[in-house]
Amino acid sequence: MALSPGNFLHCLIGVFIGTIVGVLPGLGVMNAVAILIPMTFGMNPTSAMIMLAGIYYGAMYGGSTTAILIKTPGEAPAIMTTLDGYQMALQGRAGPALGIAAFGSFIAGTFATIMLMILAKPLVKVALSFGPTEYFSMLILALCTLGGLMGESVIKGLLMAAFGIFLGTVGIDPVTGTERFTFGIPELMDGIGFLPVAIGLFAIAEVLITVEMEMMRPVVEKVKGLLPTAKDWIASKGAIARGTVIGFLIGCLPGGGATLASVVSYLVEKRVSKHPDQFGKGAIEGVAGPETANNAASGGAMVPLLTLGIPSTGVSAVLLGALMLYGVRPGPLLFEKNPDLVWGLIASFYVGNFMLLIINLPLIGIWVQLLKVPFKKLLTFILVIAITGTYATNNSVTEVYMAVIFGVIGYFMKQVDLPAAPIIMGVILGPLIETHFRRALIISNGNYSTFFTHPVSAVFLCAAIMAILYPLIRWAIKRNKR
Amino acid sequence: MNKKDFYTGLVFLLFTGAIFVLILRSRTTGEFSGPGPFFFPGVAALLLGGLSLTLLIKGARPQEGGGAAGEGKRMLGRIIWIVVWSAVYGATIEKLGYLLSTGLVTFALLAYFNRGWIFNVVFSLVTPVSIYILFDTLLKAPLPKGILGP
Repeated sequence: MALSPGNFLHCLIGVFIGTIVGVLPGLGVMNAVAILIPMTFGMNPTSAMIMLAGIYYGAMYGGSTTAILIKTPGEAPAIMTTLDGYQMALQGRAGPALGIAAFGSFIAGTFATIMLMILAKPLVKVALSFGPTEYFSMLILALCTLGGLMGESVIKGLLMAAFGIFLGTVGIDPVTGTERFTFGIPELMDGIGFLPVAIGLFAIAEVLITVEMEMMRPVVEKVKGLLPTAKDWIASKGAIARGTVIGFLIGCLPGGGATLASVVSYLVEKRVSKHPDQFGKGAIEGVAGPETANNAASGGAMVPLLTLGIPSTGVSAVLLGALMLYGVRPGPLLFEKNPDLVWGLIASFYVGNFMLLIINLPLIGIWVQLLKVPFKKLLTFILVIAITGTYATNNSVTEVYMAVIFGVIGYFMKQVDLPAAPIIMGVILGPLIETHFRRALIISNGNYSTFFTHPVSAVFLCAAIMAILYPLIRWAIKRNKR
Repeated sequence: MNKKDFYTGLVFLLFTGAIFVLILRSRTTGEFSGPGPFFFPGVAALLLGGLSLTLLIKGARPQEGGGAAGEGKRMLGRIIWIVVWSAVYGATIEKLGYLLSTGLVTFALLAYFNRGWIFNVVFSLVTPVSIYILFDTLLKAPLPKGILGP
């Protein structure tokens, strides 16, 4: 299915757009996925997801290009790549840096896809035994870990998650049909859609934030010899192997994500290296490890998303929202009801990773030219596409206004260091949490102990409590040490 | 004192207060064992309130060392220009139609940021047409024709 001409083309478009998004600083992968979702409504869900997933891991590839060439990570996970990648570029070794990043990412992406295929069925089997009680607790755990780990402050992350949950309650109550916080506005009866919120908080807010910054950095233009030498491969093989495993495991965990994976990988490589003093001065392991890890994490994030319907990263939360917009509910039943979508998507990961390897290296010259386009010229195009996409979803001017309002909110949120992704998590997961919560209480005749007498649910809730308390305990210990 | 955290906490605390007023007016929270439609929003509001109060208290504490250095001058003019024209876009997209409103907004945004008039005019003509073809024709997502169409 992934090799059908139509889906092949969608995969190619997705990875190409994803690479461009990753290359251009100021454009985030969440922005791109959110903006492009409306464009996929005319497609069948399988093709749409293939394209959106292509954008996701294409952006991981693309982010390394700017990290190496202009010391500016195109995506947050590429932050660690700037440390050694740019140094390699200054030493005239941009080619091998880009090459090892591309090959490492390909190996990691392939490994993650194989692991997804192996783990999918056992996880689905476990998840099929879950009832509303377990799902409620699992979603609470996802929200607590993601909300708590995103941004610099646990409190701020959880505050934004709670805000998102509240926004998710606006509209008509699905059980009783009561209007909630609609203020008589007909468009609000369907609720606050996740798309205007996502486009506002990520695309429009990002434009407002980036337009304040003057992004003028010298671009390393001469890129020669893209293939790593035998010495580079020998130096990198351990980093690639370790980065693959580290990235995949972290990607599977809620709150994990590609950024954390790349940071952990870099620290591990520095720790195990025989020449740790070389890190920060152009050590190829400092590029190979993080780049491999961030791509493996992108693949790992698909495991809980597809098997359990739990997003482990902000981007997979947006992908979850997209699936729900297409009328597809990710989770264990997805493998039974939409096997074509699932296996088509998994197969497209192989194809997409291979395409990225082929596209990225020869097109380096184009990406270098793209980096020279001033953001002020690009922002108009981004804004127009974002607003058009928002309008085209439901032909609703109200949603356009909502997106602009959330864009302004997102801008101010950035000024006070409030993370945006937990809001999206709350908007998407909040209604699901409420539904499972009420169902669980109906089944248990209003007995709240059901959440603790079901062992799996109890474990999830205890883990959620630990996820919130752990950073506080660490902070208290640090304070006592002082 | 961390002013950012303090005022953020305060804003959200006030927001939570407003939510509770609305919930209490509804009188349909149901019972504890059989939650009504406003039970869950009430729980979300409680969480919001607790967390915003925590942030407010944290922000009100005296900080060690000096506070963060004041940031550079905000380019508010650019921000306001973009927000206003985005709102104008929403207001005109159905009345004028997609092509005219997009051309107008594109030109207005480019005129502020880019001095190359030829580029601005060409881009303002090409962008709406190409996006219109993409959405209306290729993606089958109709866009309003406004005064240019029936």
